[in-house]
Amino acid sequence: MRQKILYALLFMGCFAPHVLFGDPPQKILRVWHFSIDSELTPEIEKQFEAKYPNIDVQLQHLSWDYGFDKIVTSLIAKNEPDVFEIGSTWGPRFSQSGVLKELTQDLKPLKNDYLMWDPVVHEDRIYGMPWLVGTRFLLYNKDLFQKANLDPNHPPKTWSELLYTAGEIQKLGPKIYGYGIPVAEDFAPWQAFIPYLWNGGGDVLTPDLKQSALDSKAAQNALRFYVQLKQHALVDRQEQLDQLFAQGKLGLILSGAWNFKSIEKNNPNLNYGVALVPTPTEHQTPISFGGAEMLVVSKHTKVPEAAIAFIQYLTSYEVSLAISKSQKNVLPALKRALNDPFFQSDPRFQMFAKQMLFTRTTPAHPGFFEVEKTLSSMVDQILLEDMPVEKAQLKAHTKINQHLIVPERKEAFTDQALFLWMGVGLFLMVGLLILFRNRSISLGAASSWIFVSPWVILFLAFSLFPLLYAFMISFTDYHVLSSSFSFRGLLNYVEVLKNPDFLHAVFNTLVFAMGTIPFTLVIALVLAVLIHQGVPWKSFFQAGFFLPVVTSIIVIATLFTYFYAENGFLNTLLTFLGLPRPAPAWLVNRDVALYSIMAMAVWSSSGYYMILFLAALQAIPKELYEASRLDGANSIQQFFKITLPSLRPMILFVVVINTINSLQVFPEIFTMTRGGPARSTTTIVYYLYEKGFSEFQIGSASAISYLLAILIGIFAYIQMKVLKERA
Amino acid sequence: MKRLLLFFILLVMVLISLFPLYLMTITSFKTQGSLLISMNELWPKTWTFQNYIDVWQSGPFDRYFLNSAIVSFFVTLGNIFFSMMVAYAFVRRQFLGQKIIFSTVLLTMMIPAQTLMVPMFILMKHLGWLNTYWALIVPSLVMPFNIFLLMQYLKKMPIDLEEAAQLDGANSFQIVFKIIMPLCKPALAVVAINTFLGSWNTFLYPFLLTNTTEMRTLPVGLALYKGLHGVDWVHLMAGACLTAAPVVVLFLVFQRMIISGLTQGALKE
Repeated sequence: MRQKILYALLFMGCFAPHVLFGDPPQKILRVWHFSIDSELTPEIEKQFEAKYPNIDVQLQHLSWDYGFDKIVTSLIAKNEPDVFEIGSTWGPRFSQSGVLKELTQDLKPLKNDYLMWDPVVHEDRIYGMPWLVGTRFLLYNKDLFQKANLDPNHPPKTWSELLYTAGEIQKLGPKIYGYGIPVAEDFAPWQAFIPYLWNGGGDVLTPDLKQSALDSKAAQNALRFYVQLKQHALVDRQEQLDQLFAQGKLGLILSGAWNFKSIEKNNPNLNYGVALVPTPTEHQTPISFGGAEMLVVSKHTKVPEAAIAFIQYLTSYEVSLAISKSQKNVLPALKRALNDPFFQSDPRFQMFAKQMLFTRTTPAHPGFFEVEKTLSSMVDQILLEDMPVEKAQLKAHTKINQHLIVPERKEAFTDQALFLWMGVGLFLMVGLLILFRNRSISLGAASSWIFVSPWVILFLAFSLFPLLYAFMISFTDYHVLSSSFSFRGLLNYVEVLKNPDFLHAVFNTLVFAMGTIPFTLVIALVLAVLIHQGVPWKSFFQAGFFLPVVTSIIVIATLFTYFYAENGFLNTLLTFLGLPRPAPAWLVNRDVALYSIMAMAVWSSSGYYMILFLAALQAIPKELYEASRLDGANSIQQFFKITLPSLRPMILFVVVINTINSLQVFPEIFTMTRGGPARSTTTIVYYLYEKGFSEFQIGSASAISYLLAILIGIFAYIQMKVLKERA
Repeated sequence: MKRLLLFFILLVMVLISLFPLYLMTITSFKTQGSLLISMNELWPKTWTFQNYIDVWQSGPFDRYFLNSAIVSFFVTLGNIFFSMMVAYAFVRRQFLGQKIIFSTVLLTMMIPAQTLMVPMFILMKHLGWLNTYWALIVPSLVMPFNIFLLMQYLKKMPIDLEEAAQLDGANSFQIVFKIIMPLCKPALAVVAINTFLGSWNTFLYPFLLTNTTEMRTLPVGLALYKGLHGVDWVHLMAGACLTAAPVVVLFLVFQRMIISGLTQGALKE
């Protein structure tokens, strides 16, 4: 009887879940966002669901490091969420790509009530809604002002005042900096510089957005001013600068409202003020860079009404204000909400809101995304590489003009056509194999085929298919978001090989491989030989050296970011020992960033190769040593005559594996430096990733992957040859 | 005397090797406030466990742990059996296309996973495997490196036993699973441990192929945590410790076996 009831329940559970579990399933609304803190999320979900009981909102928090890639890949796979948040700099690209739902009818009436629509408006059609806005303004440390005999109630208003103030504060001591200039990233460097360009009368693009305007005299002056400012400034990554400001070691910084909360948390006693961006002359409108968080709806959403209702809910007076109040790092895009008494109550917030009214944002050009990176690397080149201003300016000017050309797209094939091509190719290959097979080899026993089938199946599905797919699209201008393409022959390969950025990446990768392999090899070998001599605590030593190997590379990268930070352990140690330390700090210094990561790689992988060598050492017959000892050989002779030759196969193995790994280095770079500063840690695979996932040039990315494969093949072949002949 | 010197050299080196991990561990027990003053203290004055509680509560780290364990277990199991079968066929058998199929093994070893990100993603979408365990497990069930390793081991193994078994009437499967596998235990231990560690620590594909918190593995969880918490070192180090702890404990428990496995197996080239 009990069993029957169980079966009945199971049956119902399978075919009629609502009988068991209550109401029919609700409509699910998937939302990806960057901006809502986890403390607020439950309340926001709950309140909306109370209003719309048949909608189940599923909020997911993305991080800025990875969120963009995540959105792009989900769009490619067409499983994107119904509603997602994009930064204003991504706006033009998304609005013009055809992946977003047009919202003109629903949102047009609201247009006068909100700030910053431009990035999501394309040909008078509205594709998204501004939600939260922010800007950069001047933060200054009042205590340091006082120490330097400056008036803490009069922050610098003009460029010359700024220069003077920063200089006075810089003089206070070796670990006190006048100003902070962000570098070595994609966005922060240009966003912190652009107010100087704008206020100096320059601009990035001409008003019709068709040409670069960076060759102007005004741009040159702004850059020259920036170089002057550098003399009284610390040049480092944004995060690091913000942290130093919070610690009271930085006099002035052009940064954002995200500092309010972290200062409150980390150093609530910091006596600091907020001021408008300085301008070249007095009585000038101080323009700053403004950004917005936009909410957009997927074209493929099955619940458009719910999506729009949710957008309107998030951008409403109450909700956007609640987010702003709780997080203190953004303002509502709703103009009316800016007059809320809350913003007037705090002088810092008041100034933030005031600066917000004098902002400009990115021009609505789909190619501007790449322009931003060019601007940032121009700043890096001038400040980190000491490239002359005119040269860097001209270089960026030329490059921006290239980015502005929007290629015309002609005949387009789709994915299906590609699958068909690949099917035909595979059929031909198998046919040829059977036709031209070596007659002396039979088909083989059935069991042989069963044995290799797991490999063959997995290889066909998860290696050959993606490989051929990547090979095919390496000859096309594959368009990620629409999955369509047209052929352009070898053009991708030619362009990649001509690109100095690619050559730089190849160079960096070779430096990485050549620099790490000998160290790893020697350290591993020495450790193995020492341990093999027979020491007490043998297993302790083995474990100690092997431990870094079992640790995830993400853990290690996180740990070493801390280790190498400006105020991190390494610098503290060097100061303690009275040794010089690089400025700027390790990972933001283009001269040492790559070597820092290489040192980490040697540290984290030597243990693994040590164990392999130890294994090889134990396999050497003891008799060989005994016999040679009888012949009167000392231990050094033994090492070169017996140990080293016996280890030859293992050394070959280790070198080959190590080379392959080194040429593919990526997660470290991705987690620690993102290829910066000034591209000094951009490796081939990172470059590939960048081409594919932030510039959407899947065709070029695929071409790079094939070039990389060839490079790896050449290396492995040479090493096998060389090491085999030696023996 | 020479022994003692050797011992101290190694001791210094092992301390250097362990120091970053030590730094990570103690930092994770420091308080946020004390960090500003004493970030680089080698022994915190006040200890706190709060960072771990914060991290654990900020995301379902228990779920990440479970996912990592499930994925790593099945990937390891698959590699033990399948790599054995494939390696056996390559070493002991002759069949049509053997050379070509074998060269695909070498070829695959040289292609960086990053190359195949986009096509892999599209494929998983068509299979309906996105955000499932299938996407994380199936492509890794046989790894070329493992096939390679077992082949090297098998080549050195005398063929007599198999021939004797064949005469006794054993079929191919009995030979592989009953005779060859037990003999390959040391090499299989290397396969198992390599695979498990690799799978536990892998980042790229779990990151790309999962969308929801419920499906994330530990490294992905940590990376996203890092993205959200910037330079909040104490919490980041606590998250890093949580991610590393399971493998470290596992390694310390099975250390003898892992190292002896590697020692006996890796060398038969």
